[in-house]
Amino acid sequence: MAAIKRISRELAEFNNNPVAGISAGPVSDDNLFKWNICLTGPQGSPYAGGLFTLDLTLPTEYPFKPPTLNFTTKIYHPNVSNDDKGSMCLAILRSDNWKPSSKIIQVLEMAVGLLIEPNVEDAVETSIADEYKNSPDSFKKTAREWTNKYAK
Amino acid sequence: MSAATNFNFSVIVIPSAARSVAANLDFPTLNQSLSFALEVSSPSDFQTLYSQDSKGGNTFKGLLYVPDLDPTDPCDNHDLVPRNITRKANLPMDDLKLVAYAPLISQHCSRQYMYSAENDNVAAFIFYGVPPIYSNYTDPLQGEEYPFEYPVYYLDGAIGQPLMNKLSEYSANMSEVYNGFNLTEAGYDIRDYARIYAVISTRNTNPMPGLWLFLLVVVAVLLFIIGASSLLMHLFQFHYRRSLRRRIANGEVDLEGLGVGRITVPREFLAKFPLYVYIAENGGQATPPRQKAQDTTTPALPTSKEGGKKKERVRVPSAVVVKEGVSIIIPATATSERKSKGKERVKDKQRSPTTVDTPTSPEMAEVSTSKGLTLSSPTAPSTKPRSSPKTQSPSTSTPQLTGSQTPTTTTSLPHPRGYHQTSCPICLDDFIHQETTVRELPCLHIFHPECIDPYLESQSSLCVLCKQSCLPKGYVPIRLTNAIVRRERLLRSVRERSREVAAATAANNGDAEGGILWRWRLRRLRRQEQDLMGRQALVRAGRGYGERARGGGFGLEPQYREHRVVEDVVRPRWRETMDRIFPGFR
Repeated sequence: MAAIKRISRELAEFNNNPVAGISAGPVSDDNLFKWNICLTGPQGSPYAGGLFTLDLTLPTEYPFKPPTLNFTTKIYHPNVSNDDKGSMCLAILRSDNWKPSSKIIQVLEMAVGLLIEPNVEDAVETSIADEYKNSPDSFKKTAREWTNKYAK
Repeated sequence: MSAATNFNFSVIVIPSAARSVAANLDFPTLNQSLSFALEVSSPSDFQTLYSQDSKGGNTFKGLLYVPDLDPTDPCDNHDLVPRNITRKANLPMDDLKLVAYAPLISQHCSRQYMYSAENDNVAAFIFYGVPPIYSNYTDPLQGEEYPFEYPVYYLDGAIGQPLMNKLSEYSANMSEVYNGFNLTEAGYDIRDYARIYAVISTRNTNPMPGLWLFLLVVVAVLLFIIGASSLLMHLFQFHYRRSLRRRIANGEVDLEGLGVGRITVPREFLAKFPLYVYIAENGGQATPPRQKAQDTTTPALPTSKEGGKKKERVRVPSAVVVKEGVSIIIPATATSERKSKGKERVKDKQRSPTTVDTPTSPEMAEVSTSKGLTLSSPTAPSTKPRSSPKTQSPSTSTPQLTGSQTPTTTTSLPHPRGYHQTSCPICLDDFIHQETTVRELPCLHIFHPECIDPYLESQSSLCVLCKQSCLPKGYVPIRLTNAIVRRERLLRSVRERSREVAAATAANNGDAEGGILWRWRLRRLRRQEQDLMGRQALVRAGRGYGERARGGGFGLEPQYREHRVVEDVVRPRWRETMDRIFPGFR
């Protein structure tokens, strides 16, 4: 099956060239479509020092359909929904923008980038986005608090 | 009470010999051309004055006669009653059913007539109105409780008096009745009786016929209006569909942009996308690339590949041979017939590998064979000098010989450019220079055919990289439903409106304040836009797994799936029914 071949390939590539701050891998060997992700909060962001776990779900049509990314660790971020799903809103993950040539690792790098710099335009949590825009200090404070509270 | 609906008077012939056939009066009618018949069915010509019959639907029949009165009674000798009128004595049998007939002269007279009729075997009584100079009296039942069992009817004088006169003509025997001579000539027995026979049909009268009738009319009118408007809307919708189809065919409408759901690339189009041997962007400089059969479908791929290799091996020492069938930049109109031809030629090729070597010329860049399969070009420079005899140069130097159908010299048409893409975006495997077969889409992106073909066939018509449609412009791949028409119209109107708004804003010097109307329009426009976007998103979502499960997988007809996706956007059943009756109604 094409999807499995492609995913194994990406997995092998990732294992050969690991990226700092990102650890990723399938939940189990017989289900390559569910990945556990671990991101360390990037330095310089209010999330620094935190360890965020995420679920990556690949559709059976992968790579034609984009994967979905969900934070299992609670995080105070304009682009992550503040509910039990914790779904992350990444521009490249939208089906109209998704290109099969995008790799999982690129998605994860984008996610890390988003932690460093939230995208206010694409926010799912508009109140957090407003706070980020208007009073960045209080945003940073809350984000840091949450990181300390949930991501340690 | 049952009302009369119809009076029928005719002349029947009662044989003189018949003495006992009394009851049913089943006698032949007299030849109509020689006698008379009268039918009164216009409701304005009669009234039902009295009837005990409550069911209706009965008919009262009998021989018409004028009841006898006391000879001294002035009513009896009235001017209106002719002397030789049919009386009871003029009837052949005593026990026949009778229908009494008399003018309405006065209360007294009608009483007398009715009492007299009571003693006879009367089925019904018919009064007729008389001219006003005789009487204005119209109601024989006036004043008293009606004691009789037979129904009473009233006939208009304009019909009644002539009938009275007719009645007087049929009172004697056959030779003396009206037209008697002709009748006997015609073979009627002179001893037979010709008499007027009356049949009164009745029906039950509803107490509120008017109301029902009114309701019926209202319902009928409503139905008519519904039917007419439905027809009109269907016509309009038909017109819209046709115009949309035309605009799609003209390439004015981007179907993918409508978000009407899954549009796929049919196999016959897919087969027309060229297959090349991959040449790296800078790897092909030393050795001109070779091109492969293009009209090969995926399953046929291995053979053609082999063929290509064989070709090459044999070709090197070979001389130049002319091969038929070159066509240049063929519009995508190839049929399956051509496809099969192409395959045949591949085999042909394998049997006798004869190819033509020509130098690669830059202007060949845009030339790609779609038919010819003799497409190898020199791989080693050493072959070059041996190739291209003088005879061939003219044809090669004129690559613009568009689609020459006549067999001409073959030009080997190498793929002009290498590719930037180094790996298949789908499986991420690298393409191998001069080895991997790649499928080139119209947007010039390349993929492994085994990677991209299933996707285009079953999921989308867009290139996965640039999202450009792979379908030829103007091709209408789906059944155009009313929903699609509506969506297109809405999209267009929103687009137009926003242009309008933009223009107006510009005219207003960007002053978005404006009047109340202005603000309202702006709001409405935004709402429409949101509505549209929302629905598109829904449709897009429907293209995912959910839709797949619902639609029953990929085995379904693409048209059917399209239809479902669009129509399915959460609409209750009644709305669908409404839509069927009034298409395009919102």
